[in-house]
Amino acid sequence: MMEYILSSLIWVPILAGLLLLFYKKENAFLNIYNILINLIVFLISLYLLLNFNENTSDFQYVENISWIPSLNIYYFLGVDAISVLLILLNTIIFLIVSFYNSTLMIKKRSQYYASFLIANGLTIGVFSALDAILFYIFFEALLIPMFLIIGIWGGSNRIYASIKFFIYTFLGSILLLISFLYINASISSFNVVSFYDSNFSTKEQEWLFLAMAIAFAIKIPMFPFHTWLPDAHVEAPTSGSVVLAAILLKVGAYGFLRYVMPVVPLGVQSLDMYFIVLSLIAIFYVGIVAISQNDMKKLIAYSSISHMGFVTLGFFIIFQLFENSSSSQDLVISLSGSMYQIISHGFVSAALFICVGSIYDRYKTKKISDLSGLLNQMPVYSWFFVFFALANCGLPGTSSFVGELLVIVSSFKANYIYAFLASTTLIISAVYSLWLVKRVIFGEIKIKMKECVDANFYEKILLFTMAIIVLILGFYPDYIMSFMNATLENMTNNIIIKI
Amino acid sequence: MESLVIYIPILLILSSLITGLSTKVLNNLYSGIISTFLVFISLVVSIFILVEIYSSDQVIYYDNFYDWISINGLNIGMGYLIDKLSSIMLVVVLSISTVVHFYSIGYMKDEKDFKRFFSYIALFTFSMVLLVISNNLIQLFIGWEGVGLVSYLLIGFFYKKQSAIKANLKAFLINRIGDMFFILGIAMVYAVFDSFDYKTIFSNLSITDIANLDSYFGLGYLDFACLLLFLGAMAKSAQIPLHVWLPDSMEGPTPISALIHAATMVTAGIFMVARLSPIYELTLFTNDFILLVGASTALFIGVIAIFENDIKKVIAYSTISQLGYMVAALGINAYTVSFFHLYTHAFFKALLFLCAGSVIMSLHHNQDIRKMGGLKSKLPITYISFMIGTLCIIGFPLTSGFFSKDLILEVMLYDNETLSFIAYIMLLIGALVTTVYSIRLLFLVFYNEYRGEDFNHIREQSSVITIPLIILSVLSLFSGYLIEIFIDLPIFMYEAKDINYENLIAFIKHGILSPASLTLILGFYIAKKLYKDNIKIKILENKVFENVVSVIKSKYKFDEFFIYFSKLLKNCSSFSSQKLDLGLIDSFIVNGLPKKINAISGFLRNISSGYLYHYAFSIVFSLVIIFGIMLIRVS
Repeated sequence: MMEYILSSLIWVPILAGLLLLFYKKENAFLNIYNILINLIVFLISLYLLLNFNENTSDFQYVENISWIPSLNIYYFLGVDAISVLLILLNTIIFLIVSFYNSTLMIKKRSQYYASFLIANGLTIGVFSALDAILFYIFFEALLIPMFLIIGIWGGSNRIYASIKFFIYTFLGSILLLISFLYINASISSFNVVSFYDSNFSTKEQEWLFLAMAIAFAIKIPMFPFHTWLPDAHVEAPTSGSVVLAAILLKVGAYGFLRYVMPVVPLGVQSLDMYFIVLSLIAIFYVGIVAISQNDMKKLIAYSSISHMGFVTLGFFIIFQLFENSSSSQDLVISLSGSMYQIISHGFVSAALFICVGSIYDRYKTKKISDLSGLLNQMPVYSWFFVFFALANCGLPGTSSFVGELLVIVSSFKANYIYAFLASTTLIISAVYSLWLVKRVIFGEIKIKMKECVDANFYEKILLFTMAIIVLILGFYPDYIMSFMNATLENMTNNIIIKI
Repeated sequence: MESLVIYIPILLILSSLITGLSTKVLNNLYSGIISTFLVFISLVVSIFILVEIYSSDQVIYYDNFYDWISINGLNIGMGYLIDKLSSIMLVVVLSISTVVHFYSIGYMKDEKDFKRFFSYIALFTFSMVLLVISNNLIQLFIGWEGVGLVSYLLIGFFYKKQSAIKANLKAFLINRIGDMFFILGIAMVYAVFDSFDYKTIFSNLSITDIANLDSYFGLGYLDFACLLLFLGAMAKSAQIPLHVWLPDSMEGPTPISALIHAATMVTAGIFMVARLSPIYELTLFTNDFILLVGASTALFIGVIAIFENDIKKVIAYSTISQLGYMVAALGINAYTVSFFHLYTHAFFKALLFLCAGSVIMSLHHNQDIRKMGGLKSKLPITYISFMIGTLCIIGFPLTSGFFSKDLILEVMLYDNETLSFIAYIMLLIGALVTTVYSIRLLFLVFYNEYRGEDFNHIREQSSVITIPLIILSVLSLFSGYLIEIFIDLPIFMYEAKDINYENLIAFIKHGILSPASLTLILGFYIAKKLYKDNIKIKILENKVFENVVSVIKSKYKFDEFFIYFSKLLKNCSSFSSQKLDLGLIDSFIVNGLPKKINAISGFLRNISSGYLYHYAFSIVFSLVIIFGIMLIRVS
């Protein structure tokens, strides 16, 4: 069992999901089955975390089986601290989603659950694959359940949104595949570890970087590849939005960390300026765009893009940090900030989407102008909304503050202009989050609901759990920080050696 | 004794959680009493700590509760640094918090959200304590934002009122503008010291030549860092032009105005500068900037109070003006003097607000002073307390305000620089203005005839309301006699600035004979003529003066500026959203490219139609072209 723990994490939900596809009836068993599988996966990932040795940067729980020997493709799995944290984020979010789903009225329930289970397994696959082709397969396969979730269970304009989502991300992926093939052609291996030992000329690295960066930048999404995300979010069902924001965007960020920064550092270094500028535009400009949105989901989608700008900013400033100080610690701090932002944003955005989803379920509208004074009618729910909105604007004591602080502080060391632009998020994020709160939560009530509609038991439990997680991450970041320190140190050393 | 420190934040957060989460278990009164009791215990603890700190000379408590982040090259702890400065501040915060807790049991007794209120003020006190005892910049910032958050929640406490939820958004956003600079300041300090810890920062200050480091816009490095930090303090401590949120914050319940928007939170900026005084000592430009901002806030915002008719807003403007005094004193490095004024001001300003609360309660939530008057006989305890508060704020000899304000004016005069002399003049005029608006308020509320309705039903409030007034009156009257503690208060490990002070008697004599007394008499005379005897003074009715008054009444259009700015932001946002994001990127590029491809493929589709004559035509057509090219080439 111990040797195959990663495989079981991947395949248990996928097989359970495939099995569910053939189950046509709708009954309580479905909910129990779904929650149980997600719970099992979560517990296995928790076991993974607790037995993980964080003092070494080596890949752990490695499984390496030859798959297609003629093409150098291996079934090669393994995790380091980054992957473990992301896998845990993934399993927690899917567990939460499975709870949330069981409270809803859904058509084709079993197929809906199946899509989520399969997506769960595939994402774990993405985070644990150490063979580039295997990674690529999981990366691509992940599109299918998401495409179906948006396309079948989405809103009125779901076909347009799902096709846009699919084609856009697929376009990027082709460039990714080409880069992997190119690297393989020169080192005859798809193994990530040998990717790290590769030695390409600066010119080659630049092209490889651009090709891979576009693939991952679309996924994150970075400005100007971001326009698919608001559409996808608006049309996706609530649970789909949660998974999209909390997990799928992180796949892009993870791709940068695993396949781009340590593999083609020279290419990143010579082009980092452009990507820093794009990150800053994401933080500043996309944040401003978020202010005037009238659709709550769109607003949160834009704020997600803006927050992901911090993640990419933390990634790309490390080369300038290295030039300025030539000590690796600053680089580690910057990357830690980005990683923390990834994890934090996973919970905060997920909770916000659940909040908006709950409003939609009750009032059948997501338009800000239709709503007002929800606090009068659903106080418990409203205070959660206020809490997560405050977390969204990076209030200290919540998890979002940690990542933003570390990235701002690091970017100051790189260049004070970066820090200045990045810190405008303190104002901008407060404007869009709290203006939203003012219009939706406070004031006199606009739409009257007859029966009592405050958060139900499930919602209370879910939102409470997420609030606690956000607070713990905000007040005690040291656990995660120390946990990933060795891995990030090793990663920066890999990068520094090559530049 | 050191081990007791941790109980203060624990008790406060416990109080906040108990009142906030016990929805049905506790009734309102009990939760109020429990909350007050917990704050009171933490006050007692803090007094023990204060005594311990003062019993020996070089005691400093310094430790971490736990490591917030501890990795290579980055150590941030949640901990405490308790020296004379923070122990005094702790006692000030907790004592006023206790009094306000007690007062609120009476003031909020009819509120539906009684417990929510108590949960907030306990959370506020917790955040403030976190800020005061912090030993590093990050914890300071966490507390800093925490108090801002609670202020936001409390200003919007009556969430159905549009004016309240506008005011709280405004307060939070303006504070966020400051916070942006504050965090940049923190980043700048970190960039050079590689630490957020006060001890490390201060000890590295002397061994490196950081003071001579250059930075941006021709400023010294530390100058710039301190300037950024001070810009953060300007928002929190309501200095021009970031003061606009404080008058609006009066939308919150009155006890909050006393606790948060007068005595404690708004002084966080002053506390921060005093805490970081070892760095601020080394700055040049920033000190002058601080001095000017402080002096102009003290004078220009004070003037507004003369023409304001809302009782709470008058006191709010006077708060801003008094904060200006403190800030100005920071500008000449007289941190202890500034801190002394912070300490006396906390008591008498809380007193004034609580008196105002008592008046408002008695008049059934009328806040307009034009509809008051003659309340002297009806509200005797409130009247006397208000009188004491007024005497303190105008610096009447032997009250606490006299000591602290006079000390500020003294050090300003003895600083012997042109700028500080200008500031001295401004502050002196400011003292005159203070006297005028304070005495005016006293006269309009308590003297002459009552101008509202239902005079006979006005009654003094119960003892829950009046006891806090009496306590604060006593504290306001006598807190000034501790002047000697403050005169040589060392801030952390640095010696206090030399202040021209011999002993109490000499100081009092000197103070009474200073120009400040002249402003007192003059101010009293003007206010009495205008607002008690209702005598029209000819000079005040000419054209020039009326123009000046209209400028002042418009509050210098700062509000309009911020409204304009927010409209600009909104327009910017809809433009970027509609034109750039949806128009250019999405429609033109993202969806435009597939359309182009579709058009091209449509053309190609038409060519491959399947009709033989189409193909025959294209074969012939191509052959003609190919042969044509060959012919041209041959010839």
